[in-house]
Amino acid sequence: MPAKRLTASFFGSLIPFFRGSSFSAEHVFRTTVYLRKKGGDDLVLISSHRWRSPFTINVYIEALNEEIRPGEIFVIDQKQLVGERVEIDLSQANLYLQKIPPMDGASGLEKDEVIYLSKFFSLLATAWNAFYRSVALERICEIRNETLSKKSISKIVGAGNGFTPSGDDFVSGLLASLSFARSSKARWKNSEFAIDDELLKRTTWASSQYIKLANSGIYDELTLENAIAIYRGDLKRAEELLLELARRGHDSGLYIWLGLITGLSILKFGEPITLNYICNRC
Amino acid sequence: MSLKEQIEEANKKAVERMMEAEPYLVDTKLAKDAIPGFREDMLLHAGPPITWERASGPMKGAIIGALIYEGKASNEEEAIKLVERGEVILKPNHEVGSVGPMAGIVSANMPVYIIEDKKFGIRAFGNYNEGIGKVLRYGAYDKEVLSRLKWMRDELYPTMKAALDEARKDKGGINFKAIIQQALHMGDECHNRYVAATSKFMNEIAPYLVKADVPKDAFNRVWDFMKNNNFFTLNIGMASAKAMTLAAHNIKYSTIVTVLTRNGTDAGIWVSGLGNRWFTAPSPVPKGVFFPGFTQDDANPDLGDSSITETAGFGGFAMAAAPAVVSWVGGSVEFAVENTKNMYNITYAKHKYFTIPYLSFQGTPTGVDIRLVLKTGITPTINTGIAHKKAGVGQVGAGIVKFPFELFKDAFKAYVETYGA
Repeated sequence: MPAKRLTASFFGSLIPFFRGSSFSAEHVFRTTVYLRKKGGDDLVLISSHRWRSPFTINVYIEALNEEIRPGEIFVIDQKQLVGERVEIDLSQANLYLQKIPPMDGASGLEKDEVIYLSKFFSLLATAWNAFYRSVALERICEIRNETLSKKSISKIVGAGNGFTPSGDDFVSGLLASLSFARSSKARWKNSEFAIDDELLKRTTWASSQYIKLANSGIYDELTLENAIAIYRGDLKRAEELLLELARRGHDSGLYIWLGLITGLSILKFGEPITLNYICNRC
Repeated sequence: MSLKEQIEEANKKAVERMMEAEPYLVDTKLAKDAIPGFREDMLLHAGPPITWERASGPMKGAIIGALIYEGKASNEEEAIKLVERGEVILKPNHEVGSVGPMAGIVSANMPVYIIEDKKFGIRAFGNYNEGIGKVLRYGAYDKEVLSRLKWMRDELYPTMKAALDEARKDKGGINFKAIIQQALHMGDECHNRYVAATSKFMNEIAPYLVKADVPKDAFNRVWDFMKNNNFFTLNIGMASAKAMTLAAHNIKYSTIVTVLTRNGTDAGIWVSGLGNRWFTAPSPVPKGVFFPGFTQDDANPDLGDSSITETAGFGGFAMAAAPAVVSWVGGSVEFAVENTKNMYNITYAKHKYFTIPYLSFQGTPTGVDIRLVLKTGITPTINTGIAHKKAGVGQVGAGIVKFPFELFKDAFKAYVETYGA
């Protein structure tokens, strides 16, 4: 019998598809727990952050790592997520459905706006000690003028340090951007390419799941809001959301944003404007 | 050199200069004789620029009081007409190297302390402290307030001047950085608690008061005034902090904040690499502990240049050194410690000379970096006095306040425009 019962505020639209499945708490942090499906690779997050996603269960709790132990087994049933020590009630929670607004009439950020955001980003990123010294950025800069392909992406996947390596964060952001353009019917031609299992083997399980999901057009709400702002051409909102995304993880948010804006830049202007700006200055 | 390296070098230089400055109290004069460019029709005030129309109750009260004190108006009505006719120039203290707590009003014939930074040769100024409660800086201007101000000009000022002349001859003045340094080890944080600093200062000034050979009854009154006003040295500490932050100001590429201030309507900041350009946002209302008979509803939005102490790396940023200050500003001892720890997230360095015994003598958080404020979403949190929102009432409590995030965001955007070539 679980010792503690928590109440979820939201659960993502993918969660009901996992009813009856067992998960193991693969990684346990203060604000996020990574659940890995047994006998598979699927990812479900338990998160105390306010941002939602199709694969997240949101709970308000100070420290998840004080309640959940690594390796703890969870089962998702009809109305709850049942663990050995913790039970999360889903019956009162609201469903989060990722809604991608149509962008066919949207102008996207203009070139001078992308340049401004590039300057904003490049100066902001100086506050992260490791950003300009990272292997991931070096790799990204090396391939920035290559045609977007599985080959070029493969040089970035797994590059850098961290729970989700920085190169992967960039790739997740880039794929989220490209898939957003596809599903929102943005006006720019986009290059679709397949991410296969072989490529995903180059990195950690959690990171590979983020990449896979992003490629399928599934990502968290903050990433989505950022994509909406830049594809809609709302500079003020894009600037605000950049600040919020930048605070995610050690420097994950920086790389995700860099991927998002690079996606738009390639599609709309045919060149990675922000990368060119940053890589020439670092 | 990459942009990151340029910023790093500039910030290092700015914060080093802030920490290495050596502010000495060297003299005292009337404002019109001490502050370069001071005019008879000028009133200095706390915070960013403000007009009479936008000024808050306590700021208006202090302006009225100063005009009556100067003999330019004989009552409130005359004073208001004078300002409304545009015959009074309102100028921020910070623009002339000066500081004043709360309304921070400085008029031509008010005495000011002169701080000289022995390391970099910078001068800064600060007005005299009147005590707590019904005082001009909180917007009160009745007879009691005005007669105290006149006594300060006619007796306290010449007495202090005589003593400081002796101190200057003997050892170049009073080393106030050393007093702050020691006071932080004696339970002060040197913004809202100056108990130890004032005692240390009295120890320092006593022999010079004796040497100055001032009349015995004047000596006694001055001594009693100092003894009964734990905030006596607040203004000296603030002017010292101003000298320290001026040493860090105007350094190309630096993202370090060199002014954090409020005028009761707006809060404002300066950033070293952006010179004297003001970034402003509405001033927040402090939450705190109120004197009997007053409540949160009476509180005016925050005002004063006193947050120059936090800008220089003490005051609210050093609250962990001053657990007793929470009985004055509210909160808990745990909050005091937590606040100091939190401020490390947005500051460039730990102070070399200002240390906190409770945190194993770690240096205080020093040099707010606008980039780190944007990175973390954490804004400088300071402690402060609370003025009544109506002119004429005075101080009604003390509390805690956070600077608005918009200030730092706007400053960063200006930084991008300036340096994002």
